[in-house]
Amino acid sequence: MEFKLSTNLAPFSRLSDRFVPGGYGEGYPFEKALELVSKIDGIDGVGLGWPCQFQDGGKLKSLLDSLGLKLGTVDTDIYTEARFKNGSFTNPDPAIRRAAIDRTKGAIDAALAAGAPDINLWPGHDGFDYSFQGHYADAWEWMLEGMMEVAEYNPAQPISIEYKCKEPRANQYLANMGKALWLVERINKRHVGITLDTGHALAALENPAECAALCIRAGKLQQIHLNDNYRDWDHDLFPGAANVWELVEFFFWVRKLGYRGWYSLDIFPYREDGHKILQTAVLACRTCWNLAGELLERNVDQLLAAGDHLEAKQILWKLIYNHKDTKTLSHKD
Amino acid sequence: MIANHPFGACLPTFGSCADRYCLGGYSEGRTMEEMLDRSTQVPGLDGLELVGNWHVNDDNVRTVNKMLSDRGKKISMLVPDLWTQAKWGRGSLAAPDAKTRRAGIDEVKKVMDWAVELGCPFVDVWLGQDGFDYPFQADYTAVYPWIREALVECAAHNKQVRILVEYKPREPRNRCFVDSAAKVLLLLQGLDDIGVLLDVGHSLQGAENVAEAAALLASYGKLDYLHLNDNYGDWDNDLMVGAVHLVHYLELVYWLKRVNYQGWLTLDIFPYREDGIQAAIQCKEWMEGFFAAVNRMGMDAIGQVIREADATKSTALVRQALGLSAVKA
Repeated sequence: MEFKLSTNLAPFSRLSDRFVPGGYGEGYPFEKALELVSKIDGIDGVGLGWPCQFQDGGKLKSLLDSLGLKLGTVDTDIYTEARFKNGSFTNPDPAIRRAAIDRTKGAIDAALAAGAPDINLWPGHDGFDYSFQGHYADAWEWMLEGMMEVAEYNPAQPISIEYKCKEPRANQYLANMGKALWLVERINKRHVGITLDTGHALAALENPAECAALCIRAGKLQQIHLNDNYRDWDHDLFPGAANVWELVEFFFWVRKLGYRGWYSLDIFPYREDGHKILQTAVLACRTCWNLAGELLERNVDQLLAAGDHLEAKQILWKLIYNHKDTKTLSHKD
Repeated sequence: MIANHPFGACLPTFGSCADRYCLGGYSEGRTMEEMLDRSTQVPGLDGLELVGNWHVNDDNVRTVNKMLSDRGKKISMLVPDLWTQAKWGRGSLAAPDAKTRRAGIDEVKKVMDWAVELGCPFVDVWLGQDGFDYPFQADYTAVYPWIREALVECAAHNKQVRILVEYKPREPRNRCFVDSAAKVLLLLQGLDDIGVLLDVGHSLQGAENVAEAAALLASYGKLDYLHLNDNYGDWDNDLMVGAVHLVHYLELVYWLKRVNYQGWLTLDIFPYREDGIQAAIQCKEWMEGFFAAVNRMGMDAIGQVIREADATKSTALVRQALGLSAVKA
């Protein structure tokens, strides 16, 4: 099975937060950033935002071809402009809801022209900060209506809806895998699926592997974002920085259940060198991916089915210990 | 004033807020004069907290006081900017690089000089960038002595201004070194010249009970200044007072009175999507409501319930204090 790894341009961008609005580093112009990504061994593609990072899909395709990069996804920008601050698809103002729908249709057109496998759709400002602020009934109806409209716009272009529990809102509506599955099941179209961001799952106190299993079994896992955190916030650390076993378990289940799409790095290295952290991320991901493959070869899923998770852990620890054949490894080694 | 306490606000309350997604800001940017003008629309606001280099610099240090006094405002606090520039990205007083640590100390001293010139009694040292994001990133044995020695050097620089250390568990680092009331007391052991700024939201984010933190700091003579805001207990959301932790605020106000806190009550909120003026007014109304509730119940009556340590009586007391009780107290 192929491990198709892509990244966004954050590692080569000027990254800011609310305390450092001027940015932690300089960043690079768009084309230079793409060139830098193309030089990372183990990364085959990029995910790019429309229209904030590119406008013309056809031109982008030639540019990426010339760099030997594939387009992993097109991300719909419905979150960097202040007009969306009170929501995109669930904004109480119908004109803003319309703007979000139009923006998404534009991203679909651009993605088709660029040959992207899907668009990513993250309603980040759709939520509430205070009690008695959100109209939960209206908001979910508008979310469903708006998503349904963009789903019907052009079935040739898959749509991948991304959930997250908080930030930039203190509470976001589309907060977890359960809600995301409810939404896409209601939409009920073959080309509309879910983006599982491992960090968003962790921040929502979910287990990414279980989320993947649920989502794949429902036939809805369209896209995977990889990063890590301390389960308190979407820190966007490199994968495996904090939750190593969870990453191995995640790869184990997505490989076992046959996910064939992109794995996209979604990290925010405020203080790290972009090249080096991507190399580190590739190394961490490939190692955990391979460990998961070795567990699959040893039929660990049968041990889990039989309820013997300790045997599975022993195999894992012995693999870590020295990569010897666990059948011949004794405690004296 | 709020119940005889001077009432302040961080000046950016009246400007615009940005985050990592909406880099251009959630509302239009405003000049310092515009922010000061807007602050005058909050009744009872006595002072403003200013940040070094953002609001005060060598060019305007002689005119800042007039800008504020023309609008009837005092400077409640000056804050050295040890976080907004990329050079502080890996830390200030506890940066791995000795030159950066020295630059941090110089920055604090410079702002102390401005504070003396402006008649501001406090300088707030918030070490937001001093921490770590990953395991195996920091030398935990080196950083605390660096911070302590730097604070000692700064405090000796000018005795007319009191340095206050503001603790926060995380953000912008995933873990900040000076993260709790107890750790700040440990850090400042024996340093009577240095105090503490208690930010209610930082305490809540750090899973402290904020009233206990206030009482603990006061018992060591280090409860010097308060930042008011609210959150959901997991992050420094900087919401308006009264958004979530009503009971905790009620208990905090009781303990502020109990330890005879006389200092500033200063708003540190981030009204991304709200009008800052209206948000500040609402925060003040909540604080006055909490003080009124505690007065209505009576310090003695509350003290008696606490002495009895009976949680069923405490919960009845809270219900009465919030005016939710069907039966009169």
